[in-house]
Amino acid sequence: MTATRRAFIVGSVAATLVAPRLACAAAGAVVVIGAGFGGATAARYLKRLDPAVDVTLVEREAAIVTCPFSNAVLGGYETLQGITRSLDGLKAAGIKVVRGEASAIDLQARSVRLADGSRLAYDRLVVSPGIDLNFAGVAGYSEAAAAQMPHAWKAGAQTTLLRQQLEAMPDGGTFIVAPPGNPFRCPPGPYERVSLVASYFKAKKPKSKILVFDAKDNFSKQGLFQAAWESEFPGMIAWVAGKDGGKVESVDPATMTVKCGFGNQKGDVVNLIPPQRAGAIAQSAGLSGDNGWCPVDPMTFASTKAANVHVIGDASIAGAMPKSGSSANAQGKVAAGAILASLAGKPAPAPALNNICYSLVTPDYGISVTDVYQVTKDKGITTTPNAGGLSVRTPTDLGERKLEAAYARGWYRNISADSWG
Amino acid sequence: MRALAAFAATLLAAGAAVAQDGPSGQAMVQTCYVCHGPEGRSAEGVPALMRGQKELVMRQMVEFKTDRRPATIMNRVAKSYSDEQIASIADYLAGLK
Repeated sequence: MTATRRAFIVGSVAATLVAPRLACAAAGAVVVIGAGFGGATAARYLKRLDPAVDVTLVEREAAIVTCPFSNAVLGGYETLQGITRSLDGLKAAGIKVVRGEASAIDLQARSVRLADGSRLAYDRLVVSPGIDLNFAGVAGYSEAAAAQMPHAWKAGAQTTLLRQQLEAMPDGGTFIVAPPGNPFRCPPGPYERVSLVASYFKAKKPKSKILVFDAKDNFSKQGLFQAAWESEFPGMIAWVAGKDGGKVESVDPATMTVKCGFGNQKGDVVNLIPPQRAGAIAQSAGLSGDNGWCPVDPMTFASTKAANVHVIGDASIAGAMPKSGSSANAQGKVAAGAILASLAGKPAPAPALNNICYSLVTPDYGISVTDVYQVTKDKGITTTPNAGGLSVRTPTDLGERKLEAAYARGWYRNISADSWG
Repeated sequence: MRALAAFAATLLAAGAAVAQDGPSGQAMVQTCYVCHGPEGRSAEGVPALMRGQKELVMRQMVEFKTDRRPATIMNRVAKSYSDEQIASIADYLAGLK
């Protein structure tokens, strides 16, 4: 039936209740959960596109430490302070920034409850909580074990810890990296990490080895990374695919041992990147599916599980888009446009979505992957045929690798300004 | 009542309908800002976007698209857009203050 008729009835009732507020153009109250790339961008673009809209952003941290360029911190090429973004630019843009933990969403009453008991009412809600780590996904691993075997997959204290361990490691030591299966935050991230740590080892600890025990049989930018490892760090890095026993089944932090089909391997430093799922608030609010991620309408990033809620960034299921800061930024803009249109009673604008991911192999060697996406209600988000894709396999006189390393830094500075001001 | 029905109809439209045409020039250009900076005013490394020069922007995008102009990434990006979309992008950029 009558989905249509029922929606009409509900719509009529809702209209009676909210008509006075909607009468003044698009103004309304939007609450955004999470000030990462997705949430910050959504908040900024809501205000930029309609200064009359009331935007409140909830963030549990005082500032954002970005995952992009956190691998450069591990290599010793960047500081944690250098990848920390203040929220002052969001406040200056007229966004109310509330420091707190969103602990529950009341979908019926349209309000967000914070850990301190206060409530924020909304007309539309943007949920951009990023990822939660599923520590139980690897036997023997836990939040406590991450003090011995850091994941460093949320930038901050874990990044500092892993850097300290790498600095303390003797020359000739073994560094083990264990990336998870798909999907996960930043698909090329583990391999950029391997590269920049190898770059550090080459300069300071050239007898050291890096073992990559992978749950997967292939990975993002694989051909480019492996060619670079061969040319820049010959003999230093061994990658073991899941099909060859690379998937880590369990770990023993007390003996710094990882166990996989390949055998038991002891590391001097172990970076275990566990499986992931949408941030806890998305799970508890019922916005996620059985696989732990949140289904959305690809045209608007509106949740398919709850009305008046949009889910963006790593937490969302976004078709061909990887879970990246760049994807989250693009999705924030789409959600902002869709929300303003819906508050004004207009159809959502057609979405424009892209992704640009740079990876550094060394501070002077950059590679990238990019796509501009096609979006339809039926097929969802797909890459554009015969376009986008990877950096050239064989560099030319243009000096692609060096140029892309410089563009990676420019990208970081510019996407930061676009997201946080 | 007629007003209410009309209003409900707009609500329904808002929930279901999306413009049939592709994204606007503004929506497409906004995606450029991740690399080129907000409003295309790059702060580092990446060239800023040109304003007020529709013909030049169109010509350069077509040159990227057809690999007549060497590039690291813009050739891959430009191939994603139809000539009409490139015109729409150039049109929006030309009007940026």
